[in-house]
Order: sequence, then structure tokens, then C-alpha cells
Amino acid sequence: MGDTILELKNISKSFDGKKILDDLCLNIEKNEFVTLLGPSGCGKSTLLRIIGGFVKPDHGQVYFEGGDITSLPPERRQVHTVFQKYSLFPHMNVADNVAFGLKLKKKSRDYIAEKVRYAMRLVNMEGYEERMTTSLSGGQQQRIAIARAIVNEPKMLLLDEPLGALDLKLRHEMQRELMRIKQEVGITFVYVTHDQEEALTMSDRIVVMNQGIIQQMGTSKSIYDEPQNAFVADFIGDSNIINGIMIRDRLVMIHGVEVECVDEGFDPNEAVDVVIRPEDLVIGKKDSGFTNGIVTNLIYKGAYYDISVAAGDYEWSVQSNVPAAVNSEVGLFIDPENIQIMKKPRSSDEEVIDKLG
Amino acid sequence: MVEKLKSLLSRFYILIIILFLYSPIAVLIILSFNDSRSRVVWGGFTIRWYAALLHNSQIRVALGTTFLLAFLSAFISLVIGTAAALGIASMKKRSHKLMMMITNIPMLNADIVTGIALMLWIIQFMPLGFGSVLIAHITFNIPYVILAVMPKVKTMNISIYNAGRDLGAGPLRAFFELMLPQLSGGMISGFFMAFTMSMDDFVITYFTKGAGVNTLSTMIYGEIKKGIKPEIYALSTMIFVLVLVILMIMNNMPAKEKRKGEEERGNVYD
Repeated sequence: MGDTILELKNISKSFDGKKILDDLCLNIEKNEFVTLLGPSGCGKSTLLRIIGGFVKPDHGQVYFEGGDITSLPPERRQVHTVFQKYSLFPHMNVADNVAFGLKLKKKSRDYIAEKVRYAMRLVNMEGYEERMTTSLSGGQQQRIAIARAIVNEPKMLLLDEPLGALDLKLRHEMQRELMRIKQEVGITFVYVTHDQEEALTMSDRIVVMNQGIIQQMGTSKSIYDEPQNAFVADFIGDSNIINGIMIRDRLVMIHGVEVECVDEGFDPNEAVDVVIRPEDLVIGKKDSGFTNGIVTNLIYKGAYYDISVAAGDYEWSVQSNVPAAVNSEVGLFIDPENIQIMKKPRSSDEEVIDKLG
Repeated sequence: MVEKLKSLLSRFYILIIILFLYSPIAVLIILSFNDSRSRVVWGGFTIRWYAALLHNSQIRVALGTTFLLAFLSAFISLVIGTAAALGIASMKKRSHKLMMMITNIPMLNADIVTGIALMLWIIQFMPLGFGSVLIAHITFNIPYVILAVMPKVKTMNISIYNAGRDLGAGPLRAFFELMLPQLSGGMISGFFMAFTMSMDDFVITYFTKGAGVNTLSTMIYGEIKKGIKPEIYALSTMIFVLVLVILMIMNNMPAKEKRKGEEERGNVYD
């Protein structure tokens, strides 16, 4: 791995007696695109504000390139933030907005003009220099906010749900733009979002947070394919989470049926959570799958059908390209590779999560 | 039928307003150009009363005092009032309400009560003179500034301050360069409101001025006792025109901001 640029050590923060961050540790590598992902109130924005210098942690230290910056004010950090509400300066035109940081650093006029031109080209906003920021659309304003931060050549860019206010199509477009910009300037991005799709699309590494604790860290693929607990499984994509008993290695009992899987290393007869993604379930003829069920609901979603299948007292969620008739009895198939076995929560932290899930 | 009656009544209303409110002012303005000391005989057009006005040192001094007083009191109450508005806006709801009520009292209070009260109070510390009038004017001007600035404070975007800090501005710089401009509309109209209030005031000035200090209004009041001179018409006309100009400037500013607001709204859809 590369060098660590930012190190968060045992960060805790409470607001009005409510614990927002609890003894959190996180290292961020140089040039990484890290996404802090979690539901609202999970502490991800507070963490970003601690990195930016707007909030002081109650406990813990923030190290930037090895130096302790815990009590450094935001204006002296080599980190810039793109805020959720853009926060462009309304009384300045676009060029003056972008040049603001450089003017504070007393750079020469030519240098500033050159840098502003580069930044405007980077975000595809050439020709808008003289416009007032209030006359721009949301997407355009966000581009300017990014240019305004990047023009100062920060070593790290923090983005606080920057695409939250945009419509779906624009959001997808800006996701691609952000990845391109990241590649071109080659700096570390720390991105906060509650949108799992956004996180999966853009990140080198996703940090899933809940209740002020990191639930899981890893690449998009590892988070999606191998969630380590029920919260992550439920939050990232849709899942069927069922109680199961691990009979022995590679064999799990679900609803009284023994099903082959690929997981090992559990105690014999250990109670486990079994995660199966809806798109991994296949509907077939009755009595041919691992369980039978009755189709209770069918919703057309465009790219696929969302099908509910009731088997015993559990309702399976299935995503399929082919429809199944409501009230018909069907069999469910699963590839052993697509079964994910998780330990049942034991620590108190995990129990909190379990209750929520 | 109803529509016809409506338009007839509204025309009638305008006629009455013109008749009772503006025609006396028009008469005053006409008289200021009348080349005769009589109030009923038109002696031809002249500007000699205006010329006489300029040569009257008493009036010149009073005019200077009035403007100096209006400017200083408006400026100082602008500083105090803006700071107060920022402070009050960040208070908790209950103290916020209480402070706004306290702010409103001096505006609703009868001028004569405020005037006498201020006189009795100030006289404990200093002799009456220009200083005491200035303090009195600042006192009654502050609420107007607070009221003008407060709506701007409430719609102020705090994250702009954070964005400024983030880009390298210190706390003071971020406040003065990024936050204060957001209040500028309210501050300008607050300043002009205070300016005209100060120019306009007679009662409070009269009680707090002491001997030897005269603003235009107190001077005219003194002159009238000796009989009205045509110079006073000229002077009144000038004051009227000046206030009219300030009023037009003030009315034009919110209109500009409204247009800007509409642009913003229009752009939500693109």
C-alpha cells in the first residue's frame, strides 16, 4: 500500500450528551478515493467536519502527513471541503469565487489567472467566469465549488454529500465527472454519502458507518459480496437475512433444509445469519429447489421483476428477469457460492446494530 | 357596475390624498419661488429666497449640524445595530423574542416621553449640547437599523463562513469579507432609514439639545415664533426634495434584490 496521509486515532465526539462518534480509528492512504457511507445520523458528516477542522473531537487525535493537526483551525489545513449546499460567495462572480483562496495566499495576478483558467477547464465551465453564481443551476454551482477547492491544490479534498441536491441523471453525470477530476488531479478524496450506489460506483474503498462506529471497510466488491454483519448486508443493496445453523463446514441448515455453501471455520451447530442477495435467487419448478414457496407479489421495476415468495413464515425477496404468476407454487434455487454466512452478533455494539436491522 | 364603482372610488381616494396631503406641499414649493412676501399674491418667479438662505449663517450652521448629526448617528447606530442584530439572531427563542420586544418599544413610544426621559438621564452625566443630541439620536436610531438588518441575518448562509475558513480566511476576514456583504442590503436601508429619522426628528432633539445647538427643525420652530419668512419656504422645499430623493433610493434597492431572487427561482428548473 501507499503512504498514509491521514490518520484518525480513537476519535470520540458527543453532542448534547449523545454519542456521535465512538473511539473511531481510520487511516486514509494517499490518492485514495474513500467513501464514508451510512444512514443519516451515523456520524459520517461529523467525521468529515473533524478532518476539515470545523469540529473538535472530544477525545482522540487527527494526524495529517504525520503531524498532529487536531487543534489546527480550518484555514491552516491543507484540506479543502466541497459543501453540500455549494456555499458559493453570492456577492462575487464565478472567477472571483474560484480565485478567493489564491488571492488570500497573495499569489501574483498572472498565476491566479492561469490557475483559474485551468480549474474552469477541469470542471468544464469555461466561459462562465463573469457570471454571477446566483444565476447558475445546481449542477453548475457544484462544479464551481469543486473548482474553487481544487484550484488551491489541496492534498486532500473532502466532499460532503455534494450531489445530494441534484436529480438522478445529473447525479450520474457528476459521478463520472468526479472520477475523471480525481484521476486528473491525483489527490486524495474523502467522500460522504448515504447513497450506496454512489459509494459502490466511485470508491476505491468504502467505510460503512453506523452509530458512530465503523461497521466494515473494504472495496466495493468485498463490501457487497461479503458483508460482515447484518447491518452492512441490509444497508448495501437488498438482502434476505435468515437465521441458520452451521451443521459443519460447507453445509448450513436454513428453515430445516440443509443447503450447501462455501463458508468454513464455524463451530459445528453454530447459529449464524445467512445472507442471500435477491438477484442470486433463481425461481424454478416446484420441488426442484432447496425450498418451495408461493408467489405473493410481483412488481415490474423496468430492468427486472421484484418478486416476493412466501415459504413457511419467511418471505423471500427475489429479483428476476422472468415474471412468475402470483399465487403459483415455485421452487427456489441458489448457487452455493452466493450464500454468505455471518457470525451472529455477540458484542454489545453489534447488538445495537442488530436491533436496528 | 361594481368594477366601475371601484375604480371611481379609488380615483376619488387618490384625489383626496392629493388634495389634503400633497397640495399643501405644492403650495409651499410654489411660495418658495414667489417674488413677494405675501402669501396670496404671486409676484413673479424668483430664486432669491434660496440665495438668501445661503447667506443666512444661522441656517447654514443649522443645516450643517443637521447633516452631521444625521450622518454620525446613522453611522454609529449602523455599527451598534448590526452587531445587535447578529447577537439577537443567535439567541435562544425566548430571549430572542424578549430582545425584539425591547427593541420595538422606543419606536412605538411617544417621542415626548423618550425625549424627556433621555434629557433627564443624560443630564446626570454631561451638559446638554451636540453630544447629548447625538447620543439621543443614536438611541432612537438603533431599533430601525436592527429591524432593517434582522431579516438579512436570518437568511444569511452560515456555511459560506465555513467555506471561507476552509479556503484559508481567518475568522475576522471570513466575517468581514463574506458574511457582512450578505447583510449589505439591510445595512444600507437601515442607514438611510436612520439618516432620515434623525433629520426628521424635532421633539427628542428639542428636549436634549440644550442652548446654542440647533438643527433645522428646532431652528425653524424658533423662527416661526417671530413670523414666517419666505426663506423658510425655500428651506422646507429643499428638505422635502432631499427626503424624497433618499426615499426613492431606498425604494429602488429592494426592487433590485427581488429581481435577483426571481432569477434564482427561475434557475431551479434548468
